[in-house]
Amino acid sequence: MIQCEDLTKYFDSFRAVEGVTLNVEPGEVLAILGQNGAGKTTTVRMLTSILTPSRGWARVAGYDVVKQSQHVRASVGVLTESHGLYMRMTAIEYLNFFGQAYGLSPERRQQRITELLEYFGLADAAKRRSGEYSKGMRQKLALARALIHEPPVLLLDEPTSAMDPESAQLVRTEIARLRSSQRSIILCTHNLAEAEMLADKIAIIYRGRILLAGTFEELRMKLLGPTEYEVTVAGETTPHGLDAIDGLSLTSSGLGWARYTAHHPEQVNPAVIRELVRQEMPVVSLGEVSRTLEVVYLKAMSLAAEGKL
Amino acid sequence: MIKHRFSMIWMIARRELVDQLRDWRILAPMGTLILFFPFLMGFFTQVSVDFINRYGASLVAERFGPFMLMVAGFFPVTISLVVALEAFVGEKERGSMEPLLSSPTTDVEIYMGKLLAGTIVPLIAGYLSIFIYVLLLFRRGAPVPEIGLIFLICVLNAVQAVLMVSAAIVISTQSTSVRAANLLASFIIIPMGVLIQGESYLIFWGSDDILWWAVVAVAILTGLIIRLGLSHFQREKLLGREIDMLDLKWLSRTFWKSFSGTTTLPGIIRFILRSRPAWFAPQVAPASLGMALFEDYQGFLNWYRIEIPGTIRKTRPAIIITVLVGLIAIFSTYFYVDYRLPQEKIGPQKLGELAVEFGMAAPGGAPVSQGLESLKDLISAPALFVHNSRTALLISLVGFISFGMVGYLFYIVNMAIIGGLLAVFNMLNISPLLIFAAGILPHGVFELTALTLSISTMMYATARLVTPEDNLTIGEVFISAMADWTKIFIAVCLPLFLVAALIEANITPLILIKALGNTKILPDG
Repeated sequence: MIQCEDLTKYFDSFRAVEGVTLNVEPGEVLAILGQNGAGKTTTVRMLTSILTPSRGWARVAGYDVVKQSQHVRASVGVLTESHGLYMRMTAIEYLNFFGQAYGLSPERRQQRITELLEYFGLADAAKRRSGEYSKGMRQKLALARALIHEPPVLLLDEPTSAMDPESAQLVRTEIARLRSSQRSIILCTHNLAEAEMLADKIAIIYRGRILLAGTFEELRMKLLGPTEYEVTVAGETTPHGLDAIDGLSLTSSGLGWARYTAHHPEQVNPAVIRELVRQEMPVVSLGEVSRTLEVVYLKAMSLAAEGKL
Repeated sequence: MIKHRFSMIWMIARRELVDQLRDWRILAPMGTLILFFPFLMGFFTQVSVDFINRYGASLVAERFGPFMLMVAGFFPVTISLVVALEAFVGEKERGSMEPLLSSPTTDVEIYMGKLLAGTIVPLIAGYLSIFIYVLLLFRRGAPVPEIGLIFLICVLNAVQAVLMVSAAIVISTQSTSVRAANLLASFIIIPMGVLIQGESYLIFWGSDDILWWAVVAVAILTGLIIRLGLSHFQREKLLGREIDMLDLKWLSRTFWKSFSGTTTLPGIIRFILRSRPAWFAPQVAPASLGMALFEDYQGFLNWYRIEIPGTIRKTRPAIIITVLVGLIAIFSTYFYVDYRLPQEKIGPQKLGELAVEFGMAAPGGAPVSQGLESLKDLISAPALFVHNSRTALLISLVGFISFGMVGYLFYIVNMAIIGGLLAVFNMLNISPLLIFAAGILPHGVFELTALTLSISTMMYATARLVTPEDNLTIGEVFISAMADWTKIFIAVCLPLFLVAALIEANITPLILIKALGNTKILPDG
């Protein structure tokens, strides 16, 4: 649904994006992560046919972003960095305007406006001008605008920023629903927990280049190696004798704890507990070492800064 | 398709109108202008007319009505500038431009929608103001302008409003901030001021009908500005441009590249800058002064051999059109003067007297050659060179400002004078062909060629401005077009003007004296 290869954008001599290759299938969410100014917005703008690539190609919903820009724009729902509302318009007027811009019939517009306003809890404020809305309400209205024409492709830039937890949860549920209805979604976000929760694939962009792309598992494996487990015991003794267990590779240890990796944790972890019990060491806990997307991302950034990635 | 396009344009315009009509900062001054200005104009008209009548200048007083009518309508229209200037750049600053640009609306729909929205409200305000002013005149028992004149002023107001809005929208699409757009507004306010003065002059000087020509001229100019705006409307540039910086380095580099056809600086400059830091003199310097001069000599030859003919080739359509227009101007004026000028009003006698007055003939029926002898001493080559070059330069400059219109008008007038002069000689029973061959052709071959090239390159430059060019900004097109014109003016026109001046001062009078011999303009006695 979204394909691009070697997508590159130069502004005069400044390289904003270089060699971006992505593929997002229907029913897939791709999270693009990166620092401010890394090239996320430029990539999204090229995919919405606002910017013309300096090199490479992209097809969105089957249309070429350069040659069929009108079709591309009609097939994409965009949530931009800033909400982009018209402050003197009411929510109904605003959605009606964009519904018309996307070619919806008056009846369909009416139906979609009612649905979206009710879904996002804006029905009561529908006749108030958006200038009077809170930040979260504005963000919800902007998201409603992106969804008004039920596009097959969604490009969402920070969809839950400035939202309260309940509203953010509502938006996340909506994104999940859209994914299950075979939409292709690109999510640009700094909220790594959200990306971990929603994304099927993750791309980390750094200074205009995609550093890494793949599933969360793939990224974690590539940057942090196999899953690490930590066992803690009571008292001030270092767990010992663990390296004798088959399939266990001890990575580090200290007073009251030890870390190891195992190819078959379902066999190795019970063996670890048996061994510690045999040594009469009181086991306090055994579990996976936390390796969230945040850890993966920060590792990628530090490696990139050192020029090792 | 067309219906859909119009409905999209109206959709964009309607949204803008809703925005305007809910903004008290627009409504308050507009309401004040509508309600206050007609009364002020009415009062001012009354006072002025009374004053003028006291001195018996009733003709001037009579023209005051249409003038004030125009002013009453124009002032509320000025608000359109405020609205239009922020049409694109204001939305960009507020962040609401990107969702609109991401929608399937086309460039033309967005552009025309905003143009329409910028015009409608101020224009309605202008018409209301005119209506109130006329009503006031009616109530006071003052002479009310005829309905035809009111209609004419309304049309004039409309074209002026669209002109201002279209120019403001061009600025709005090319600016990076509302502040920058407001600063650039002087490029609209000053020419509009001059235009209004010109129109006022026409109202006082001529008949009402002459204003229709002003309407036509302003409408053409407006069309060209809209075309300019649409040609250079680029979604990418609109969002991508973040800061306005006067980049002299880029400016001079772009100009030099178009002017010389190369990015390399002249050898002599590179030689002088050879010891400067690399950032200042980034190009390789020639080893010696001799090498530098040799490089420049080669470059100069290449410039004349490749660049100049190349630029002339590019302007070929403009040259053909300019030559045709010139010929039409010469011939139509010749035939107009020859056949239409009433002989009884301006007969040979009167023409002869005029010829003597201008030094073209000797009084008392002496041969024309005597008059030319005395005139010969007054003509100097440097003066002619300066005059002709300055004229061509000024014509081209006003041409650039007015998208070629005023420049072309001056060119047509110049050509028409040749036609008219030849016709006058014909009326004096002197062969116009003889005059043309002996008095115009010797230096005209060079002078008229130079003038035609200068005007053609100016026309080509303005045509480029209103034509879309891929990957080039309006600034790049403008600099490159100016470089083309400068190149032709310096390399071709100035040398031709110099040769023409030398011939006109030293050779043409001799040929003319020889050719005219003892021809007399004034009858003996």
